[in-house]
Amino acid sequence: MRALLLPLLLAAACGGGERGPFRREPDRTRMVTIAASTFSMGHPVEAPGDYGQAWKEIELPAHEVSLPDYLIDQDEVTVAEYAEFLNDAGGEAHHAALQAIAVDGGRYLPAAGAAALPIAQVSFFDAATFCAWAGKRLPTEAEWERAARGPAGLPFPWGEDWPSCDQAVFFTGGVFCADGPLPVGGRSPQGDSAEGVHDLAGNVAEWTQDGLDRYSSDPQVSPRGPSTSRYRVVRGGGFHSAPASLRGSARLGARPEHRSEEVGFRCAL
Amino acid sequence: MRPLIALLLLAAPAWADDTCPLASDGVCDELTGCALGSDSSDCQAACAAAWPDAIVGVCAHYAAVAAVAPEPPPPDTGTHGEGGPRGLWSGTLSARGNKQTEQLVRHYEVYVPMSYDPRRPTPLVMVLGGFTVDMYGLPAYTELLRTADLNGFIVAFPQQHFYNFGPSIGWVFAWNIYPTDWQPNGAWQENPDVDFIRNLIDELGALYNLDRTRVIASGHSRGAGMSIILAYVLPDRVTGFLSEAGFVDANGFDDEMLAYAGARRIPGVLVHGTLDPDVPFSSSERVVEVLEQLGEVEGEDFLFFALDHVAHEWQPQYNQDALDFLFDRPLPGGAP
Repeated sequence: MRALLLPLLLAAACGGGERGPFRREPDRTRMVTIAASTFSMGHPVEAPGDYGQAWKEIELPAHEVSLPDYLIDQDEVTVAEYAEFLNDAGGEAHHAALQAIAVDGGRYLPAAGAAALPIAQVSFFDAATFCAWAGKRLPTEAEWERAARGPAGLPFPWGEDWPSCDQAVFFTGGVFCADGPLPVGGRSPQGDSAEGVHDLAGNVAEWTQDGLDRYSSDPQVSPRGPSTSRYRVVRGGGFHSAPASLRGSARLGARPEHRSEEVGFRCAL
Repeated sequence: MRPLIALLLLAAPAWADDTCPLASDGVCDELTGCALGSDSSDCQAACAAAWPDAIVGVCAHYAAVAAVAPEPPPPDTGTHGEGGPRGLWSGTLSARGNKQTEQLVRHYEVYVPMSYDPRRPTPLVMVLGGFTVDMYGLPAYTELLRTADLNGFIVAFPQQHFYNFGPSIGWVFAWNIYPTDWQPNGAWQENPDVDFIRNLIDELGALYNLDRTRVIASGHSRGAGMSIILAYVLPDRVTGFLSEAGFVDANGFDDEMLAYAGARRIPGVLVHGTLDPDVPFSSSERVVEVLEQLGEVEGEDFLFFALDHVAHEWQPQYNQDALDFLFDRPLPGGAP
């Protein structure tokens, strides 16, 4: 009897008995196609402006980037989707106490009212593993920026205007637009990109696949940042971020093991 | 005994060890063939060499698993405060004024990340604004809320002294950084802002479990000058400084730095734009010169980011680099 129970207990302790294959077939139904294009990545102006200059020198130099067709999630990954990943494959290694996810009888469940919120308190490692599980991958910086700026290379997903709380969830410098992130797509359609992607500015900032590095001025095809960098690039700004960080070319390096209440992610394919 | 082992191998979860049929062939087949962890030795070897695009997710998973390993308890360097609010809040405290007998109510704003854990000593970063800049503009300007969220430290934005600069300028927010700004002139320990910051650290230490070995003074412009003053005048409380477009030459504090005789090399990070029209780039070069005269070595004791295309602006993209560097150089033994 003991010989029969032991392996069952071992399997249950590891959670393996309830987990399916690691990589799923990707669900493309809520993804947006970004057509192949060549665009100018980075900030176009090198002369510093007056006080309050929005762009930072790490966005320089602007350089030509060509990308093939790709898909990007229309929305940030939600708490409900992330809980499904934890149950199916991720497990304890990708769960953090501050995520809006409760543990009940060994199952991960969205906290009350949180299912449609973007998942936050995830590390780069969590995000990259989720996307692999979903049959996708994290977007590169170039893919993220192209999606945010649209085919016209606009400063913000919606155009030239600086953000308002109707378009994005962020910190105006005087007030927070909201106490925390809103359910994904909560600022649609006002805050959408030209191609209909939601929340690329504000709500939660988003991990990308690339390590942080200086830009080269050389034209590039499907560029990838170094995987060996100490920092991974976070894009888009979150509900604590200032307007300047919501610009499509703004970039920030963060340590991949770190988690934050205003950093989540979306996947690409 | 042997049948039991065989049964265990058969029934154990596929991802628990190298039991996947694809394992041990020198190829990480994790994504296509197995569940998490089943191909671990092959995948770990591949991830150690690089993070190939096809298995970024697998490498990330192993990195996350490694991160779950329990850390040894941190040294007990905390102040064991009784507890305060999380989020962004503001408060006041009493500190001396420009005259010895004068006491003022000074204001500050504090940001405490949701991740704050009172069981763990938590670093403090103070952010000092430039001439005339109100503290309420600093969180957005410096982007330090994001850095604090990611790194789990507390940020304080102390309000500058509000005083009268005379008829041409009037009443403005300004740090007392010139030796004639207070009485007795040049007694740096009695500088009203030094008293304010000393009291603020103590006040926050009573509220939170501050890591006494990681208390950083940072600032922009005049506030950057003040951050360097604090690091040298309060070396038992302030671990190091982050100076963005700062200076010590215009107010003669470079001479005061050169008189520093403490055993500890005070770590610092300087960020300055080569096109700064307000505080010349040469001011940070002077700080570097002084640090080197004190025996400090660039890269070991201080960092200097000299930035082209930058004028007189805080550069948030260096927040992480700067604080990683400073947090890696804690105050030995902790402050009293």
